[in-house]
This record gives sequence, structure tokens and C-alpha cells, in this order.
Amino acid sequence: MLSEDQIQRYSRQILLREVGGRGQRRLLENPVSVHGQGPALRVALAYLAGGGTPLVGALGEVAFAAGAPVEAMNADVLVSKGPATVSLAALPARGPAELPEIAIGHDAVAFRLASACPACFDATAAALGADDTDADPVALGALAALLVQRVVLARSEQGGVVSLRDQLATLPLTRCPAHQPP
Amino acid sequence: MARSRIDITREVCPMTWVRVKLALEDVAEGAELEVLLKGDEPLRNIPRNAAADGHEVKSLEAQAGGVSRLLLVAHHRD
Repeated sequence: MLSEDQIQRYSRQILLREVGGRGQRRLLENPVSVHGQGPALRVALAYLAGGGTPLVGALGEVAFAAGAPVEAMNADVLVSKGPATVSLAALPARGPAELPEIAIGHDAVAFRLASACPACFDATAAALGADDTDADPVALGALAALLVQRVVLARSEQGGVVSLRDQLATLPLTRCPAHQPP
Repeated sequence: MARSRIDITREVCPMTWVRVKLALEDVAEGAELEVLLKGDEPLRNIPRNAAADGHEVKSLEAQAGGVSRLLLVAHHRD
């Protein structure tokens, strides 16, 4: 059951046919592990914080407890403070394997549901490269945030890559050695 | 058939539809939701939005004091 505060705070999102009250509860209850660095990551985290998704990770001095709601987090901190190079790469540990994961790369975003192979996801994320100034960080960050919500709400795909270059088509994850075709 | 009721006469857009949308999610498939509304905006938008979301608009009646009584039948897509 959403609280009155949550209804007021997330009303614009609840209005969306793809979200609604049930979807908003799902967003609030399902943490996601986000990997990346630079301004695109901060944009993604700001959108996700605004949408109620619990995050796993840390950004500079802003720490997120695993699975904790981020309603109290001030999204302004994410977008206005800290050096542009602040990174999640130094996280001591990734989230639990059962958490969906998102990796923000140079101009593409990889995503994985809990049912998809973590090694395939890691291989895909490594091939994405690091975020840099060539891609529009707002577009890339917004894309990452949308993919997080799609993963949490739909749970219809195991994982994939969406690139700004490829007209937002969803491409399959890179196969790890264990999943190479014979 | 079970019937729930919601009064949105004191709400303004977009909370009018947010309240009705959440109330519709909470009623069972085929159950009725009675909505009391007031003003042009909800009178125009609530029946339209409900129908667009797949619910049935059963009746709409004007009542005293500029209030209207809308009767919806919930149909859930998932």
C-alpha cells in the first residue's frame, strides 16, 4: 500500500499506464545495482532517486544501503556536487546476484535481470568501455534510468544492451565462455 | 456485486485521476467503483481515462451542488 506521501511524490509516475500504483510499489520495493561513472551515472541516479528505485552502491560521500528506499536522498546532491570523475567503480562489492544490474558505458547501457548470467553481463559491461564526453550524458543517463524501470516493471527480458548509436534497438548480451556456442 | 466508493470532489488535476486509478487497482475484477466528482476537468477526463485503461463506464449522473456520480466497472488488464 502506498503512503499518502508516496502517492503525492510519485503521482506523475503513477499516472503512466505502464506504472500505476502496483508498478510504483514494485519500483519502491525492488533495488537495482547500477555501475558506471561520470555525469551520465549521476543523471541516471538522480532520475532513479526521483522515481523511487532503491539503489545499491555509493557515489562519493553519498552512500546507499542495499535495498534501502532513497526517498530521503536529495537528488540535487547527485547532480550538483562532487567531481565529474566520481565513480562507482571503487565499490567494495556489487549487489547480491539476485538484483537486476545496469552498466552505463561509452554510448550504451547494458542491463541484466537476476535470471541472466552475471558473467555474460560482466563481459558485456567490459566491452561497453567507460563513459566519456562524446556521448550526451543526459541522454545516456536517462536511457539507463528508463531501462532500470523497464527491467523492474516488465521483467520480460533476461538482459541486453541498448545503444544510442543503434536507434535504441535492444541487442543481446555478449556471451561469456560458459555460454559460447559449441 | 461489491461496490467501493471514492470522493474526489476536493481534488484537482492530476490527483483526480491518480485517486481513481489507485482505487480501481484495489477493487476486484468486475466490481463497481462509485466516484463522486465535481468540476469540468474530472467530468471530462475521468470517464475518458477510465475507458482508455479498459474499465467500463456504466453511468454518469448529475447530483445536487454541482457533484456528479460516476459508476465504473473495473477490468484489469494484467
